[in-house]
Amino acid sequence: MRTNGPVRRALNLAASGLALALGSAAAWGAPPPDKVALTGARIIPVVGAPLARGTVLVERGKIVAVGDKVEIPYDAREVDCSGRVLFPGMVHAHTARGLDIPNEPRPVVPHLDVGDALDPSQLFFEDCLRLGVTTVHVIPGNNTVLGGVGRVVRPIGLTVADMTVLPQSFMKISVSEKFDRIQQMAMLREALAELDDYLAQLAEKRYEEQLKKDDKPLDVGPAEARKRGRDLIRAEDVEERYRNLLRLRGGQVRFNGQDGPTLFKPLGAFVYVDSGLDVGNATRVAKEYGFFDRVVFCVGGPAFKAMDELKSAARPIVLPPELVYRETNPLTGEVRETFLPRQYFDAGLKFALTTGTEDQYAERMLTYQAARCVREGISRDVALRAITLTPAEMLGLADRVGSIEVGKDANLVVFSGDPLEFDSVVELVFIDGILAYDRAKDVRLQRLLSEELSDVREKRPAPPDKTDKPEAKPDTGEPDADHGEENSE
Amino acid sequence: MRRAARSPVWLAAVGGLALLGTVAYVRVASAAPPNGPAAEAAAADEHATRSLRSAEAQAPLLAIRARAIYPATAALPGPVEPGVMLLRGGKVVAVGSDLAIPADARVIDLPDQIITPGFVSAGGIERPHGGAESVSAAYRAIDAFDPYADTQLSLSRGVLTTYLSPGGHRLVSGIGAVVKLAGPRDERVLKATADLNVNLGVFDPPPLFKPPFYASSDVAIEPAIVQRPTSRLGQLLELRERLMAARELAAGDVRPGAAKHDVHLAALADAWRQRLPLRIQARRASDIENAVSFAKELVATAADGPASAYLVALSEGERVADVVWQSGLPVVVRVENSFRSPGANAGPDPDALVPRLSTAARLAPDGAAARLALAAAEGDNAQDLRFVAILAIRGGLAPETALAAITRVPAEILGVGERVGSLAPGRDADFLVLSDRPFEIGTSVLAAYVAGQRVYEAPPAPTTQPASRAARIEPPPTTVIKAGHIWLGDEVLADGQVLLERGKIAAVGHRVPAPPGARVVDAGRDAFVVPGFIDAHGFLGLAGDQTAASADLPIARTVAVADRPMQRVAQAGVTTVLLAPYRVAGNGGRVAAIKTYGLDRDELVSRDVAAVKYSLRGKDPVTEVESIKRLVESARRYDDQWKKYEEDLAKWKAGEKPTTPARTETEDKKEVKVDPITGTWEITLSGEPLPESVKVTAKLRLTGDAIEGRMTDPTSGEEVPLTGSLSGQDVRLEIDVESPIGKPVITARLEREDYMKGAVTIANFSINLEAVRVDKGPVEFKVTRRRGKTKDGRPEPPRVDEALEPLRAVLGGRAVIVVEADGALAVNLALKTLVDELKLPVVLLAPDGLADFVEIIRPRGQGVAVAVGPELVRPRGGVLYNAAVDYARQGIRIGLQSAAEDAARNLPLMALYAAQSGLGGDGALRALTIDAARMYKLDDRLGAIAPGKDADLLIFTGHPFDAGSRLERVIVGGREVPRDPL
Repeated sequence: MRTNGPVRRALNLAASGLALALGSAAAWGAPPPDKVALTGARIIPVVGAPLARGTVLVERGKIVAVGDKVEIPYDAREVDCSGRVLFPGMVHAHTARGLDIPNEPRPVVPHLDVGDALDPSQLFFEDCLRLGVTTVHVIPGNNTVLGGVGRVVRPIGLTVADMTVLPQSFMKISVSEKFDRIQQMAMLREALAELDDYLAQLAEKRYEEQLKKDDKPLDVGPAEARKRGRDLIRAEDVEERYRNLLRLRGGQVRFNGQDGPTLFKPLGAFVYVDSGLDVGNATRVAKEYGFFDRVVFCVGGPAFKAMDELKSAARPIVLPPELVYRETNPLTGEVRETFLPRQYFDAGLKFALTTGTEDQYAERMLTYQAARCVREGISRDVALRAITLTPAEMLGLADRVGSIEVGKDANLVVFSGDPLEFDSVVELVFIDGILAYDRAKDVRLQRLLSEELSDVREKRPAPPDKTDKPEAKPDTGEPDADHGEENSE
Repeated sequence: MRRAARSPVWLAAVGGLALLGTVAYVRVASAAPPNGPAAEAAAADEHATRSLRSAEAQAPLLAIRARAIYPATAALPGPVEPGVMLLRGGKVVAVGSDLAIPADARVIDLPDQIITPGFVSAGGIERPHGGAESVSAAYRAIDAFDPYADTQLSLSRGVLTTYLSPGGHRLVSGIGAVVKLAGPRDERVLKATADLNVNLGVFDPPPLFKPPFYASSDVAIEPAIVQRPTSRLGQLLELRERLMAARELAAGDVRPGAAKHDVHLAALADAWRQRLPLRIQARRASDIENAVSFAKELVATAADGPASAYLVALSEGERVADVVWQSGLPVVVRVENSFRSPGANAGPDPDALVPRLSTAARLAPDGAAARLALAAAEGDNAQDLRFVAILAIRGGLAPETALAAITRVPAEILGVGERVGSLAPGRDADFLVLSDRPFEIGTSVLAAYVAGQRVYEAPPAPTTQPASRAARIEPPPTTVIKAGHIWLGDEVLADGQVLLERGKIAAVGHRVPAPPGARVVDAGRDAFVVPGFIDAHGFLGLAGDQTAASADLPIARTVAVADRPMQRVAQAGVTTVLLAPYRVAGNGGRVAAIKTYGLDRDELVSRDVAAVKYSLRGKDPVTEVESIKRLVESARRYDDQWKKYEEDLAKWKAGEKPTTPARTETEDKKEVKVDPITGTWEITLSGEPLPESVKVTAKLRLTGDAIEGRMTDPTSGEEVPLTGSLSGQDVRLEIDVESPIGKPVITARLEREDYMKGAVTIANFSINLEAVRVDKGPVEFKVTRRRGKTKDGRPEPPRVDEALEPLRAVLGGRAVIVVEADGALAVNLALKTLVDELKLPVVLLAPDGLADFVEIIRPRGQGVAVAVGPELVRPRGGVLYNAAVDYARQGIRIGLQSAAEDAARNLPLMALYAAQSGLGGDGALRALTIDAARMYKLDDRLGAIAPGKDADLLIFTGHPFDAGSRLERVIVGGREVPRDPL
């Protein structure tokens, strides 16, 4: 069937709307039930010991009780989770997905806010539900210098406001990737230093305005005017362009080494450091401009080489999706592989795991990333925290999400088995007590797994060897007669 | 040492010098007690590393002795030979030729290696920034410095310190830096802001587009600004203008923020305030002249401006050499001639830049006073610095000036001369261990040190040894030996070189390739390199065991690794011994060719069977020779079987059907016609646990005393193979069926003709057996041995007969016959039969009174050789008579035999004595090398210096048999035999 563009778009919209509807019908339809009791599940609360069989009671979107002897109120809707595993909704610490493009082409755009570009209908958010992620930190990508501020959202809701958990979360800074490092650093310094000049001029302007208002003539030179004008600067005077920069530098007016009024709340930064040298560069800049204690390092593969510096910095780490770093010795050609989480784990640093792009299915799953860590000898507790509580702490949301504890948001995932088992699937997802996802009603998934499609798959002429033997046999010099016989059967 | 362990991390962690051993043959003559040298050295190293940091003064003293040290200081540009360098706490304490080494110093000997300061690249590593600004002073090269990067490539070329350039693509491209490429990370940066990069002759920078922040009706989008310089005319103008603006800003005359904040102007002002030197890169003659006048003017007039200046590149410097020389400005000449590829065509353009090799030499007319540094073309990233210096030398630069131009002078130009670039007291102990002199073509960097710590070690030359062996022992090092004379075997090569790889000689010639990391041994112009000496017959390692050995005894197994007496023999220059048993049995004894030095048995044994030794001594020669002849005949039949098998195998491999395997049997059929076994037998089995007796048929065939056959399995009806033997009247047959409790065995006795009686037993069970031969005719069945494994039709090899194998080797031309005989009759008889009749190669062990046999031996030409000794000179008729001389004069091939165990170490002295009593030096040398190898058919591996031969070499200070000549080194299988400590 051929359809023209608008029609296809309309169909797509309808499909995504349908998908959303199945997940979050409750979010916009009927009001959420006041009380929900999830009973009979094995509970992995992340904080504290797992319960073999327990109940989680949710009231008005918050967890009010967790235990094996929870009394279920008569008016609670009971969801039987026997044989299932209850896990906190996972937290995605750092992603540019959910945006139409990860980065603005211009490198220095500190005033941008991803809230303006978030698309609630992106399939990514649907996938988040499907994979058990209930909190997503959407932030500009690494291909920038000062890339704008991010936003923490939940993957349900029809508008950005609906989705938002925490607006204006962190500034995105990159000291690598976009250009060569010399230019990158020069631009970063220039942008940060420019604020001083701006504030000085603003102070001068404010002082002159003040005099004008009082009908007084200009009585002092520019240097003195700036000094006097410093305290006159109000929050609304600061241009949009410089507002986030000022927040990044602590929110307090400060130039020529002297302090003025504090106008804004401080803003933290997710700083992308690709290689070892970037860690030193980023640290120096962040310390020079006073936001080092609000930095979260988003590391690239080779950044672990600066582990000494990362250790002494003791800032939280967001790991790249690709967990293995490969390098080749230029003289001998030997290839060395490093499993990155192990390096950070051994260094005692707090790290969060992230997922990759669409092309590697397994690495889209936080649970898979955590399972790999356990396989490489990292304790299960740390691996589970790296996809739940640790990113929540980084985002300053540890009091709301990241674990199953009384008082926290009722972000809960019902797994069919242990979350780190590869054959476990997400059956139900609750966000703020709302049933946000039900596998049984996942239309897209059902279609993917349906007979109809599998028929199509089977009919597709696939090479017969590929199914059973994933790797082509190396040339063993054996005659091919055997294969021919097999094929003819 | 596992290869994986050779990572930079590991190097940094272990540090220290003691592990140099694998590449550099270091022997640590530690003051520490001798037990557990490796552990001691490691502990000492660790200690050294730790104390370097805490208390430099108390740090242990390290003394390095090398073949030569180039301090590269202004006072001492040339080498100190031999050199001694004292280090403490990462700094040089002293360099000299005959320094007294304090007793508490750890000493490292590098007898073949050369030490120079680490190279300093003033050309540097470029990281051109992407900024568009023509004057872009805010770009700092240090921002791109990655102290975690893998710098092995640069280190392997000897560059330990380098300039970092922000690029040569803008009029002012930024601020450069000077860094070390290795060493502790916090000590890498020598200068974070070193100088201001100015590049003349770089025109047409990209237009500068500055989009406004949110263009609107009030804020217009301005067109891109065209930047200067667009031509040569504008570049100095632009430069002056900007520098003056910066100067005003630096002096505080301009209000910042009056105009829009200009980071580049601010950076330029900073540079002015800090009086950063100017680095002016210029290629064209006119730009160079401009650069000279501009730099002089600026440095001379602006007291607050740049403190100094230097010039870089100078491709056309030859044209304005006088101007540059008279200006006294230091220069960094880029040797821009393409050498990795042909480069660009210059075409007919008269203005084309055609770099010349002589530029550097012309810019340094007085080498000693020159402030000349050398650099490669831009983008080389400091990798070919040494090669560039070689090119400059070809262009006429003095080697000492060239060395200074890649070490001391660039360090001084970059302002780090007090730290690096020369090995003077107080400087950082940053140095290289080179395999040879710095400007030899084949020289490679074996190791590099920064602050006294090893930061680079050349990886071992690649090896193709089987993994199992490589894992067990280190492969022999790759070595180049240079000497005035190389005795190839039959002739002498003057001014030659030999390349040893993987224990073999890889190349011989005047100039052989030196793979990276190869050790170089420069033996000198008078030196003689000769093949290792061969003892033509000895008993090394038998420890007096006089047991008569038979032909199946593998004598090579007696060889032991790390045997003291053996090493003594090796140290004397005897690298191969034809190891024979003292006494041999009637069927002869094996003679093996073994080496006197090696790390495992595979290395020690050159050939399991080099000869079969027969002794006629004290026996009846007629019977003995007849017996040898019979042995040879049966060996010939045995050999034929093998030949046939190999033919069949070749045919089978080529895809043909093999001929019927019963071939040999049909031949033998006539002989065995009336044997007591061959034929068809009817076997009756009875008794417990069989409920009733069972009859089966078996076909049996007797070959010698071996029986083969087939029997019908009573249960399955299948044919199963039988194998066994007949001894006397007793028959023993194994039934080849798989069963968990073993194979059933038939034991029976031929009670009468065509009838045997016995039992079949398996484990503890036994049943009675009676068998009657029903047919005596030859039987036909397919070959039974290992039938199951050869269903693909591959022919079966004949059974190996260890006693006949040595003779088979003789027949195959891989070994010879050694005859020990006394008296003319025995010798004559032996030679007549073995040489004339059987056409076999014979080595005669010198009989007493051997002069009498010259006439017997000589007519047989090269078919007979004589192992002379052990007593070379005997009185005969009242006159001292040297047998070796007599044989040699008659054209008979001779070798020298020790007929002793470790007394073989005196063989070279015997040869010397023979040489002076008439054999001559060359004759003695031939007898010990090529002739001995040829008489044992070992000349494919031994006795000569040619590609493919074993790397068994001796290095003498002169002709081996000159009076004053001394044996300097012994190399066996590519490994140098260590000398005993005194």
